[in-house]
Formats: sequence, C-alpha cells, structure tokens
Amino acid sequence: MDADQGGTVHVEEIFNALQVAVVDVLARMAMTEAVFVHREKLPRFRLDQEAGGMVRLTGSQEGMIGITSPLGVVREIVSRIVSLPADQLTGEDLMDGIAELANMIGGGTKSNAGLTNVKVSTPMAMVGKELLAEWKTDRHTERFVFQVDDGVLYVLAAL
Amino acid sequence: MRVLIVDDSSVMRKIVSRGLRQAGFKVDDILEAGDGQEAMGILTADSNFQLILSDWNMPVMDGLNFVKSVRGSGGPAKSIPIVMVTTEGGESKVQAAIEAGANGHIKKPFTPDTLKATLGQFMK
Repeated sequence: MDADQGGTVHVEEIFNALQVAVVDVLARMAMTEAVFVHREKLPRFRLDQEAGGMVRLTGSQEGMIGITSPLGVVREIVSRIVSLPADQLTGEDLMDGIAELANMIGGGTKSNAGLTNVKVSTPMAMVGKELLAEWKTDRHTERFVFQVDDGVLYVLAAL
Repeated sequence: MRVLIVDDSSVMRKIVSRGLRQAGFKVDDILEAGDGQEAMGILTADSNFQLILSDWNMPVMDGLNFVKSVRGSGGPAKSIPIVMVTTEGGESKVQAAIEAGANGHIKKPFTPDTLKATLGQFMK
C-alpha cells in the first residue's frame, strides 16, 4: 500500500525523501555528488543574485519544494546535465535546467515518500541578475544546504 | 535510426539525446518538437522514425493526447513505438499511457543504462 493511502505521511518522512531525491537526481543527471551539510528554518526567503526553480504540491500534502543556487553553480550543474560547456548554455537552457531539476526533485520526493495522492505542478524557474523574487508561505520553510562540486545548492521545502 | 523527441524543455531534449548516445544506440538523426501538436506536424510531413520519446506535461497538446492522436491518425506514423519520459511514476498515469497506445515508460531521473534496458527492444 502506498504511504498516503494508509494515513498522513509525517513531514519528517517527506523531508527525508526529499534529501534522498536531491542526492539521486544530481548523481544520475549531473554526475555530481551532493553532500547534505545542514538544515535550517527560514521564515522568509528572498531570491536576489541567484537562480531558482520550484514546484507546488497539491492533494493529500500541500506545499512547495524549490531549489536555489548562485548562478555560476547552476550554470555548472546544467552544463553537466546537457554535456555542453557552460559558456555555450543559453538563457533558455538555464531556465529549463533549473526548472527540470526542481521538477525531478519534487517528483523524486513524491515517489520516495509514497505520496500517491499528491500532484506535482509543472515547474517554474527564476534566473537573472535583476530578478528579485520572494518565497512567501504560511507554512514553515526548511532550507536544506547541500555541498556540490562547484558550491552550495539550497533546497527549500514548505510543507 | 531516426528518433523524435517531444518535450517542452530544451534541456530535457538535450538530456534525452545525450542519453541515447551514451547508451550506445546508433542514432542517425534526432528531431525535436516542443509539444504534441508540433510533433504531429512533423509526423504528418515525415513518418520515418523508429521511435518517439514523449514528455507527459506539455503545453498545447500533452503527452497523453499526443499518443492518442498518433494512434488515431491512421497514417504510417500510427505504428511507431512511443515511450513516455516523465517525472511522474504513478501507476495510474503509466496505465493511462499504455491504454492510449504508448509502448513503455521511463521515469526521470534516468541513466544511460535505464534507457538501454527500456529502449533496447525498439532500438537496434
């Protein structure tokens, strides 16, 4: 039986599933080792000089899952994903790349946690030096910090 | 072999293209479409493909409706194998795709080995 058919999945189980998904997605798609460093509570998050992607969860578990990282790190990760030099990536590549990462991490979290009755939205991405976006939610946001080869990747979950 | 990749994400189209080659398949030509409707236009003009790989969530025409359109087209494209490539691994979605005429399903993230195992029956 899937986990959410037998009752509510505890948020901590989803957080664990999320961490597994991050490591798995980066290893498979970007040949990058992501090492969990620590997690912290964030009442509010502001995206400034970074790129970010996110998906919404609806259904038996509502919330948001997102990733953010300095633009240079995102460029390196996407470069590995598509096997193209970083300086040959287009703006569309970066947008699609970080959106797909968020999509796969959201989907992986859903699968790992057995959240059959949860729908993962199509992803959205934010990339650009001039862009300012604010992550606002009435749910508690946890930020998971991962060390990757080229810097730090932040994974956000508001559940 | 000629392959048609249908996905609204340019990065995913590149990932799938790279994966096919890393899996060791001899691919002569890969054409890309950003959604099901664009793919139908390509297939109407040229149906000489040995495999179609299609995303599920796409604007204009999604993967499920694309599969239904191809299978209902009555043209030579009708019998081209279609494998869905999607994040969603839910049994109901896979079952819906199979019932619509898809021949298989690959869940993202995938490795070249996954592609080889799933697509080997279609790719010589």
